[in-house]
Amino acid sequence: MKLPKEYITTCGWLQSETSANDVVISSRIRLARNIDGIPFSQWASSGDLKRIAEQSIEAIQHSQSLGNSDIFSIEELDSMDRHFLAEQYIISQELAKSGIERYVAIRPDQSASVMINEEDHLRIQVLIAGSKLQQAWELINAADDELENHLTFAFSNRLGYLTACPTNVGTGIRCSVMAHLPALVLSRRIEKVLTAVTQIGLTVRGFSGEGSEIAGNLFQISNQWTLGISENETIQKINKILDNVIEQEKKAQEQLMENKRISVEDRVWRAYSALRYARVMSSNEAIEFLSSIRLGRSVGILEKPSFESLNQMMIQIRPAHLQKRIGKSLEPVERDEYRAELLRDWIANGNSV
Amino acid sequence: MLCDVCKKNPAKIHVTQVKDNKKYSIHICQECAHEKGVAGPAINTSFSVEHLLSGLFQSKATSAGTPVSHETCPSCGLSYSAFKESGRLGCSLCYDTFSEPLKPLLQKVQREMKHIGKTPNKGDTKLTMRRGISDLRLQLKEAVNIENFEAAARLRDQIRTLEKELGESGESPAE
Repeated sequence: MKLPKEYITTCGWLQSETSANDVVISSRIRLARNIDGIPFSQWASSGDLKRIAEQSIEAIQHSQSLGNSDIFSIEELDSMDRHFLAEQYIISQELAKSGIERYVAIRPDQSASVMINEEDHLRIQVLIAGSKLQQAWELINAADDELENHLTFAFSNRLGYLTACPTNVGTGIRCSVMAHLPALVLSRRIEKVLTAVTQIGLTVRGFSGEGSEIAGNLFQISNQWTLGISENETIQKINKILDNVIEQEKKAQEQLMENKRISVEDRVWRAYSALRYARVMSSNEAIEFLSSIRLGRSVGILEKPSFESLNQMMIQIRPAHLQKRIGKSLEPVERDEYRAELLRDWIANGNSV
Repeated sequence: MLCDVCKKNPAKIHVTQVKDNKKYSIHICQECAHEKGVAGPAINTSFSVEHLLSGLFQSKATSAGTPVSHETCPSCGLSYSAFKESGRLGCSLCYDTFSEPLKPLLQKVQREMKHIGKTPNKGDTKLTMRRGISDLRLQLKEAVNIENFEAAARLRDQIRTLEKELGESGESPAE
């Protein structure tokens, strides 16, 4: 089984000009659900895993919002395709490494997906560009209701939805937003801001999720609590803190432009020239340069590229995307050369991906 | 090897369990197993010999005072130490089985101990039924502990009937 052609170049769910935002790159919500009466996937027998997969797929196919999803068996996808989906955040690294009786259902517009037999039986996920948690919740809540028409989820009145890991029990919800905060980093105020975030039941991570390092001034803010807090309150809490973080980032940008204009311009144009002319470009370098370009766009030094195009590029420069684009596997050195070439063309040709 | 119970017939059923880094084994013959209500014709169906015998591995002194919930989940067979190692529970009933040891963990990572979010549209009748089965399993374990095998056999049949009503095979992931 191969991923169909429409998956090859752009990242579908990120394609949204209307919601592209200079600070908030994306919003994501996932719900953890388990079918009542069957052990959690990690401890389930192969027969149980099969039962979970069959029941889940049937429920997905009967649901209105997920009914015409493409369903892929992870086992039958090659390693490149699995990494490709993980690079778009459609599946987790964990699922990409798994195999038998593991599936992913992906809505044609790629805005919603369901991982089957990941840590929990079902991990329903919605991804939207920009700051759109409320919209993501409406979508995922409807999908959850529809799945529930065909499945009985493990639920207790006291503890809510029962999940494999007690850190998810209750609502089973994880809401996260990815924010680009270069001015707060440059002005060394980021730590103070993030400490405030973590004091109210939220966590901050790097852009590749759990345990990842901070790169490209990208920060993922998500909820920690799932018990003793409702879904709506969770979303409101994040949105409130996000508004505050955006305001502080904007203020820091203004101050930088007032006090250190030349140094900001120098940073932006150096990044521009590297992307325009470099012959070898590592992933990490590219992420940092794209961050500087994004800052240049935010403060008005650059008129192009669009934020949507910048969002796409952050995904397109990843290893599996490069290799799918060129249609063959590349050694790391070859990837760095091809990445440089792709970025040169992108800058030179009006930033179309 | 001779049966641990009658010491006459060759042992046909061998069960080994590792608990607190100690290995416990029991070997019994088919007749004794059957007679004690341990294994019937449906030996491989609704629950395993291991489940039924788990109580036999403990000395009377420890089993009497220890709350059963701290040992293994009667529904899926997961031990609390296996949970601590992996960070993943075995099944939804583990939340009942390990409710006491889970408390401090939940208090640490969660805001409060009560769910106030979304509720499924359906009632949780199935879950209630499963809870009932879970209770019966605990009673069964107790019955085996005190070697009341007649009661154990009766409880086993009750569990089977309930499971049939639920329409589920109730396979145990522990095997």
